[in-house]
Amino acid sequence: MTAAERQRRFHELLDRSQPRWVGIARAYAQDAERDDLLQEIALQVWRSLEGFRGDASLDTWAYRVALNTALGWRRKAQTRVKRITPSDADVAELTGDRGSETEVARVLDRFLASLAEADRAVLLLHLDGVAPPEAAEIVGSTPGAYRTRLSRIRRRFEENHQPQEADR
Amino acid sequence: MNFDQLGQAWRDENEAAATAPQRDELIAQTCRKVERFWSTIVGRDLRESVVAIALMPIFGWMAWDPTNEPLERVGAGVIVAACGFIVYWMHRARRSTPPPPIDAPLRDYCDTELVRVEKQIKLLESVLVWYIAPITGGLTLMSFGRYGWSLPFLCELALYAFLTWGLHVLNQLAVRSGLVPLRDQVQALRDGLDRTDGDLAPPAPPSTITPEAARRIGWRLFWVFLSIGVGGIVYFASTDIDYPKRSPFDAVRWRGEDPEVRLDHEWYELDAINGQSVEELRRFTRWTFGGPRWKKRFEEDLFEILARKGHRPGYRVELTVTPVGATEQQVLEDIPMSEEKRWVIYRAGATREEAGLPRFETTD
Repeated sequence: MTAAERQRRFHELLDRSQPRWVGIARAYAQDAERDDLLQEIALQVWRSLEGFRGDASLDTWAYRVALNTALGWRRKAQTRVKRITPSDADVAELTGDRGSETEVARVLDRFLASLAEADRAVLLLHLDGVAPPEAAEIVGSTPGAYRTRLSRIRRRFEENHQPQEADR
Repeated sequence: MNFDQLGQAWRDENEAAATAPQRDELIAQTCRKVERFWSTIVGRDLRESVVAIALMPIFGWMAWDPTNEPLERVGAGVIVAACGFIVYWMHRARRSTPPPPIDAPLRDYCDTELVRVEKQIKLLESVLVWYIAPITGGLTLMSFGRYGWSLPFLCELALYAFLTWGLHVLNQLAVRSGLVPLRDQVQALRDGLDRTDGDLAPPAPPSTITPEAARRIGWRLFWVFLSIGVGGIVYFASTDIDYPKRSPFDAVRWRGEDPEVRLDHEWYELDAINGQSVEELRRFTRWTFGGPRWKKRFEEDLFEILARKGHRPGYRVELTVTPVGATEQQVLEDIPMSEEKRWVIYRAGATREEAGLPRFETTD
């Protein structure tokens, strides 16, 4: 791949995937560190583009890179700063004051932060509208297993949030 | 709130956050970071090896220098070999544990990362064997070669033992606070992806020691190291008394380990100084200063030896001697100790050494 080709693909990817990367950074980094993670994702995508073999679509491939980068970055950040567990205090930090602006998004941020990393990745793929076969390929499981996991996440979300809705 | 509404809300908000200026900034920053990336890698590789490589010529010279004691040279050789081995071992470890391909499916990424972290844990857990022990072993050999079984050797041995322990503890802390939690998290993520029964994946298990606790322990160790270092410097500075350099002898030569001294052109076997037998003085000098060079101390620092033994001499001493070839012991009183005599002895030794001869004159 020539440098010009690489640059062209990177720009195309950025045009299409920037919102997804923003979402991944939102799900895996605290408010103050989201730009850093977003930058790291862009850097890793750029560096890895040379090795893109075309086995999957460029978008699927880039999602895998972004997700793996976020998970790796999060682990490094934990050892750098402090251990992050999905406790209430950490959820508050993760969502942040400058985070989501709508009620739905605020609930979503808190819910994402309360999930284990594997489930968070599955929910992210669903939220980003990635089709189940493609999402299963990204996490390395089967479409059936992916759907089962997603339905459990859905059940948990509904258990946690439907009663609140009914109260209102 | 409907679960199916979430996706659209999520995407809308991310679309709004993904602005054109942010896109341009991402492109610009990426270009800058790509340029810095390779210099970072080269810098890391260099940092890991530079200390070991810098030590090699220093200890190599000590191993080659024929004026050093044989065991001291062996110890220096061990350190050179250990440095070479450390550079090779770190290089090999780095090459055998490359980071997982960032574009792999999440599950494969976790598998590769787990293998990598396990290898790093094993590398750090065995750091005592492949890093610390060869270096401190070589230093101990050097120290024993230089001082023999003596107080300075025991002090250095204690220092090396403490350093070994401290470095080992720091590495184990790094394993327990950094790598073990990392492995547990990757394992939890991997298990979470495989999980087909029960409910959702549980969060990663809590680490046995938090990074904060590790940092606290690390800082405590640092203060202990610093206190011992400063304490040692203060102790040695306070005991480093500038004793007078005086000697009662015109010259000194050796019959084996027994000193013979010259007074007014006459050679005597030395039996005692101010009532302190030569045997006692020899044992004290060896223990206090250590090593095969104790004779140099005996010749040139007799005042200090007597003073540190608790028998500080004045300007005159009483010598118990036996004339060479005779059997009858004599006591010579009021023998003056002077700086001139001591400097004559010092210069005689230095001249012999410069001429490539042994420092000490012997009767052989």
